[in-house]
Amino acid sequence: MQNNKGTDSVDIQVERAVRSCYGKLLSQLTYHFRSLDLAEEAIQEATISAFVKWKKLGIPNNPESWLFIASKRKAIDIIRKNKSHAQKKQNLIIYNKTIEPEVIELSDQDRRLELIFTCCHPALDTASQVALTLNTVCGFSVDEIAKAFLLKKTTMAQRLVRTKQKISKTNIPYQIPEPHQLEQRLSGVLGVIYLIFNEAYYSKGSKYLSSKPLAEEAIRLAKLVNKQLPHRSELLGLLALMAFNFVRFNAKIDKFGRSINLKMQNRQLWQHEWVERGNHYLESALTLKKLGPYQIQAAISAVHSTSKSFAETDWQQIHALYQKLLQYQTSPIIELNAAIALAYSNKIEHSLKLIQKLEQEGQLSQYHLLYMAKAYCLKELSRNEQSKEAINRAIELSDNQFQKDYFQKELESWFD
Amino acid sequence: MQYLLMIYAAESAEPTPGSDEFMQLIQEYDVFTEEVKAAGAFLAGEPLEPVSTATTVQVRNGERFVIDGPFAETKEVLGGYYLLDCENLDQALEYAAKIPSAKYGSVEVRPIMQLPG
Repeated sequence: MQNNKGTDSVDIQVERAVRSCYGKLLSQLTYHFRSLDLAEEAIQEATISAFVKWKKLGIPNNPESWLFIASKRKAIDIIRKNKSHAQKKQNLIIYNKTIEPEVIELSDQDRRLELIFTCCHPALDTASQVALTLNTVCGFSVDEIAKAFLLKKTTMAQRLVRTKQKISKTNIPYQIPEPHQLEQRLSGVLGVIYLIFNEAYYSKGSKYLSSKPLAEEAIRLAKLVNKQLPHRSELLGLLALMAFNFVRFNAKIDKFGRSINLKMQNRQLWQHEWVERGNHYLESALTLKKLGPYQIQAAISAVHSTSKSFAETDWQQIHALYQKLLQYQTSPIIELNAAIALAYSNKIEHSLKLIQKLEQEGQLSQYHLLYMAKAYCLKELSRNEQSKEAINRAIELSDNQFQKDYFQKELESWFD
Repeated sequence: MQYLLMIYAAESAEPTPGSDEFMQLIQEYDVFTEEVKAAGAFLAGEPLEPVSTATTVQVRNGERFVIDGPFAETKEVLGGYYLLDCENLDQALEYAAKIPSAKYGSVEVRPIMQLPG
């Protein structure tokens, strides 16, 4: 046992210790006892005894293994105390195999991947997959997740309870999927990780769960999967994409938590060390010669993150990459982005035609950025009145005052 | 753990009895049923007569109401079921995907409630 470090209270140290190993702890217990509820309850009780015991005896040398052993004992206590609980959850059999807590070794094997696959099971809806992954694997509290997703705490709590019930009632296994399912299931996991990253990256500014730690958590999750499932081209592509986007993170959100668009960003704030990481991942992905949408999006982000200025961006390259992306994913947003890249490559008329076609097709007819792109093309063609009309439409459709002000400023600078 | 696999399909999407497609479908069902039996997963499984034969019963305040037709009018109707004993949901979903009608209809997988005691 060692003395309390620095000025941090024991309570804070307990919380920090639990937080730092929560996902690992929860996944190992869930794997051993085959019950997420039981594992959560056991960790909660172990945390309570840590508050008491660490105060009395000092912080243990290895808080993580202390917590694991304590949680394991608590789990067994819970099973003993509540046999009907055990029968319901079918823990009795497992309990018999593990009469004494010492029987279960603190295995080096990380079980978080198994838990990730459970959380991201296609039998759960996507929003629940995201929430549950953050809650169990990453150890975020219900309150934190609710705030990050701008939902009421009770709504989020209900969602998590419902999801955990579905897992236990339908018996979704805690296991890495069979090889023939692995690729499809992995792509679901990547989708969840990317949603978490985007929630942080395009955050509307949650003060509580600040967006950067959330984005870092997404990267940590992807790295964790990569460690156990290496050489997956799209996983590496996603890691590259997140790294290249991360370059711009500091410049992306202002001190009020508002998103700043690429053109207006202060490139001095870009963190170029992330370019190297992005390059490393993207190169590893490309050597596997299995192209996919994450790799292409990573390449697009790489072009942006290595351009000296907005004007000096290689827009032709960006356009070509969006065209490539369209071979894998058809989406009007990608088509719009391709058209915008075309406009910045000075192919204004061609771009305008594509934008107008998208407007007529309807899916983006209420999308503010379509009208900004349209306004830009019209201005370049000196069709000023029509351009102003399009900007005003963009201002009208934007749901964000900061962005409305920015559009207004653009209008004034164009037609001063 | 037991799962009920309910096979839903639009009756109009099913091959006409007697046609080659119909014979093939029957054969595919035989293969599937043999597979689940061989794996020891099969507990029960039968096709149902068309939805036009459905009768719905309700009891309200002790009074019995008998209504012609299914409980809910939907395009995809219950056409048959399998009751299987599976290790977990993933295995149940594997089997569900192998049910021949899954190619044009839907298979709903539900765990059988485990009652205490």
